[in-house]
Amino acid sequence: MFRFLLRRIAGGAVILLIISAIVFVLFYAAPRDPARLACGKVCTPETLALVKQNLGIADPLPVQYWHWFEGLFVGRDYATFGNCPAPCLGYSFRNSEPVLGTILDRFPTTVSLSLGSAVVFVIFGVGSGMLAAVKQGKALDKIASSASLIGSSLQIYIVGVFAIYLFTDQLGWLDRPSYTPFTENPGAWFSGLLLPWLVLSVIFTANYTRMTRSQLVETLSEDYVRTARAKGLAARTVFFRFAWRGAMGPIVTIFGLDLGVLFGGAIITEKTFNLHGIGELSVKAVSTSDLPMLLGVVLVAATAILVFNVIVDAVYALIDPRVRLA
Amino acid sequence: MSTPFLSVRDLRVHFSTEDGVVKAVDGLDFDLEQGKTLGIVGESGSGKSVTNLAILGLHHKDSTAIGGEILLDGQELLTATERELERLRGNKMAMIFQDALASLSPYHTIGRQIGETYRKHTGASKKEARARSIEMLTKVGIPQPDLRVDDYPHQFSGGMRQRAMIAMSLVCNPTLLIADEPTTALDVTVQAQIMDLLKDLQQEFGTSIIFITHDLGVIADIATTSS
Amino acid sequence: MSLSRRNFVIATSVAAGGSMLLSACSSGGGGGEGKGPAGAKEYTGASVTVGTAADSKGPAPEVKGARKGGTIYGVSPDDLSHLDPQRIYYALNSTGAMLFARCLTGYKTAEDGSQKLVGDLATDAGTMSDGGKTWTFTLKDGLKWEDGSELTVEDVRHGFERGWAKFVTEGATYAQIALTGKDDWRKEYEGPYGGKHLDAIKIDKAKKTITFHLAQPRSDFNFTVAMHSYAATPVKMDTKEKYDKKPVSCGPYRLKHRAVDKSMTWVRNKHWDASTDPLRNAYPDVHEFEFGTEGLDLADRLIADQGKDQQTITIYNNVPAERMQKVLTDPDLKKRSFNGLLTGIYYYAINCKRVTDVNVRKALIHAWPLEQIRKIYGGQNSGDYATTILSPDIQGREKFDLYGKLKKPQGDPEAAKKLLKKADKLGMKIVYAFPQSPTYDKTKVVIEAALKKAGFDPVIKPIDSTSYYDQAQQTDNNFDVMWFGWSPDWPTGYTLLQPLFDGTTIANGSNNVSQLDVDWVTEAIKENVKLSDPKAANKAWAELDKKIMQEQAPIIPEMYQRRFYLHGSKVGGAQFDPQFSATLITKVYVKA
Repeated sequence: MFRFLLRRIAGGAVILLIISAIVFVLFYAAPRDPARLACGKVCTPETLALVKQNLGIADPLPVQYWHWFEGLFVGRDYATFGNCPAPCLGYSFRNSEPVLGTILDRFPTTVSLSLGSAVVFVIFGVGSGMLAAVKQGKALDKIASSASLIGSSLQIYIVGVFAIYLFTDQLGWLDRPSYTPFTENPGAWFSGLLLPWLVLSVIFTANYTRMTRSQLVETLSEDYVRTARAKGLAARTVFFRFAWRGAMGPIVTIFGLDLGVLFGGAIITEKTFNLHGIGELSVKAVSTSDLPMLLGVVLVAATAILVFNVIVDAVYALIDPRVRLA
Repeated sequence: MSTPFLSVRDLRVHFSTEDGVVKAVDGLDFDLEQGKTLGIVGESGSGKSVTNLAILGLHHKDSTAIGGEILLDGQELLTATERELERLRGNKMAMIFQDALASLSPYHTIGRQIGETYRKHTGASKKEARARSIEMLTKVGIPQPDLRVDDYPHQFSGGMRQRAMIAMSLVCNPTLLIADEPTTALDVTVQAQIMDLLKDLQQEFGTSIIFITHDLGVIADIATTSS
Repeated sequence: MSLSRRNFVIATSVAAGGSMLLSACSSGGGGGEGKGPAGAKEYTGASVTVGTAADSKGPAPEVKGARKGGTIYGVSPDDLSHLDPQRIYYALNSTGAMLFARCLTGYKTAEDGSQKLVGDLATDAGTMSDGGKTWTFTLKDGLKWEDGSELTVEDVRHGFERGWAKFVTEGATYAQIALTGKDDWRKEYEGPYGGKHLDAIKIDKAKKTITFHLAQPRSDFNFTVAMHSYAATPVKMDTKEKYDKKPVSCGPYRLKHRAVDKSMTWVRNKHWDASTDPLRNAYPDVHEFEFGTEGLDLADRLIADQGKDQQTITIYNNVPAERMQKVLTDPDLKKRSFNGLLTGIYYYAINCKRVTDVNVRKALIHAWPLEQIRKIYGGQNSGDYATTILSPDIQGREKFDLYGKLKKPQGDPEAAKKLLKKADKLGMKIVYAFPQSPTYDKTKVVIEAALKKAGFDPVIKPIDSTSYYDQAQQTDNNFDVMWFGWSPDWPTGYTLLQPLFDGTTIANGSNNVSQLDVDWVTEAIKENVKLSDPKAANKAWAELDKKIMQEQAPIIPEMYQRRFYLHGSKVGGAQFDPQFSATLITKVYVKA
């Protein structure tokens, strides 16, 4: 297991490097000049050159990349901002804030949003999927299946805007979405995130309902489930110990990947609810040609996905002994 | 002829499918005495397996209509409640399936799968169940049973899996064993070994066996009655 | 985003912001045609004049019914990108700067929207001498920084000299050019941090005067120094690059807390003396800014008017097209709205290097379907047709309609064809370039149809909005007509005509997108600048406007856009700020 982890971490580091290099190249391939952002209304070539120097983008691309890469491990000295200790992700082109600090500031919001909604959509999604599978073909199954079809075709920004309008503006049942650190005020943390959790869950719940149902329908018809029944085990035992165990693998896999993606920022949800998370940060980085920030959020997003991949692999091995030895 | 231990009368098994009702079994009668073997031969799809699943009550209740009567040791099975059936399955009547790899859970050890039947019906402790599993594995001829008991099915060879399956079905000394093509998936030498094993065990436990196959040669080897 | 004064930098320079700029301008249908704009208060222009020393005395005239206290919330999609005054050029940043930064002069806005340029730090709007080459300002008494220390003429000079600092690249450059007389003014001075001062600025600490010796006469230099790029910065508390994060206030509010991209809290600066300040009423105790809410969501919040939103103003956003109908038809919302005309002009630049025949350019103006275009923007509520280069706010501007666009806003294909025949260019290929957006994807259709009808062979060239300005500002581009816009930095003709039509500025990245390179135009600009009498200068600029349109026709004027703004029901004193195209933040108060 240790060697497996080590191998995965080394592989992950290589992938991150490749991703960062690709971002670098793509960024400069686009026909836009980040220096013009800070060049004023009458942008003379002299001022433009000065801006480039200030931003550290006057050097050739490989040199820039090397400086960035070096900064990760040994830190960097900036003429304008002073020393940036390792791991240094640089300073934002847009507002001169340290990239790492900004990301660390935003990450708890994204994690709170992701984990909270994950709790909701796993409970409701898997729960209703189980019910639908048990009651295959019955009314309950049909209701759950059509509800999930509707749910998965909904868009967050529509549901979100409507939910704010109804529950916050009109009925006043829920607070206007906002983020308060859990450590500061758990109550405000909960009430401020409740609406985003529920709305984000609507879409995911639907997926998990359908997936759980189809996985269970498949495993319930497995021979080993029939064997378990032939052994005289109670229906409940058969369902959970055998059918669910078999269905869990793919669900855990998807869940891990979903969480990885969510940790990289639930862009639309954050935008809809005005939450300042990684997703919002990444949109802003793209729209303002903010290369250091863009690299930072891409690294965070990619790391989240890689980490969850490793976790998924490990959990899968726990669930399915066939994988463990293969 | 003594009173039959298992008696099937006018059994009708009809499925409703998208293309209409399929009469898989229509008016089947047979009796089976204690310690005897009944062989059922037929082409695939001729209703053999369905009949036997119906005995255990494992057919699809929603899409299958069953008529007639099945008496096991004087108890009517078709009208029995699910709870009554659960008590009988694996205990008084057990089944061996054709594809042992698919029929054993890939997620649990062999020992656990054998033991859980035992625990369910006897209320034995984990430790007792484990001892019983090792004992059964020994009986069906698995080498180093105290080690292999913790293996998973995919770590067993095909023949060993079928032996483990037999061990699992016999763990509670059932009086009726339904073997649904237990040797079909195995190569010839292993087939013979399994057949021998079944015969030996039948003698030891006095089990009645319904043996389903499409292979007449196998039937000739084991059956006391053919149907 | 809007093409508002001091904000056009977003349009020209923020390549990435381009798409946002355009989407905010879009008005997808709706809007009643026929009657005039239906907002609560009709705004007709700032009509700026220069005030007297008496006008420059504080305190600011009371707003009727206003009361002190409470919190006003200001919401915007984006955080202020700079707080260092020298780095401020965007309208949004300037709206924030009104709370804490002060310049030598400033705009005093009356309730009817009219404005006077008065002394803010200075006792009056400045004294010009030496035929416009020397400008002297005297500081008021009682000016203090937020720590209680005195605001001196050295601090005022420092605000100008910091314009040379290497980290200041975003601010205005008018004063730097005026003081050195050079376009590459950075070479003339190394900035204040080496201990050297600019020779062109003289201060007298005893008399509290600061005197600017300009290289050329500039009769409107007192307008230049009203820009926040030239606000005072304390020499002793200048933290250089870091000043951008925590500026020192000399205005009514100081920055108490800031969470970048999230919020700002401005509280009272107890060392600000209202009696020195003719511009700012500063009624609320606290200004709380909140960032991240997009325009449509913000409009919906203001419409819902719940809780804190009742005390909320927009520090940037106007009512988006999607909610215009609602705001104009709902009496309650109408009461909570105001509107204003942007000081800038939207137009279509004709590439004079490619379209060399003036008659063809005139034919294009005749052909252009202004009415159909405005319908797409939202009809009459979206603004007024433009027929001049100078917008209505510009001093001395004279209205004319050389090409009968007000009579035939739908276009005059016959007149166009006649001119084309005369030029022997019937069927001429015209490449029209525009930045892609839902709105401009619609206007291109009516433009294409109108050009065809007038005997042109139109070629439509949609360009990705993020790189549009870069491409349009290339001198060797292949476009004949380009969507464009410009916003003046102060209300005199210079800030429109010089950047757009001075032939000497033509280069890649220049705002002379028409590439008009005509000697008499360039010469006239040079001469007008030297006019020391503001009245004569204003007249000269207005004449030049007409002459350029008459003889060169380098652009097709399109619109002076009108914007509507909403505020919460407990906000009083909300009115349009013609300078920064938003709620005039210095006059709002919380209703009891």
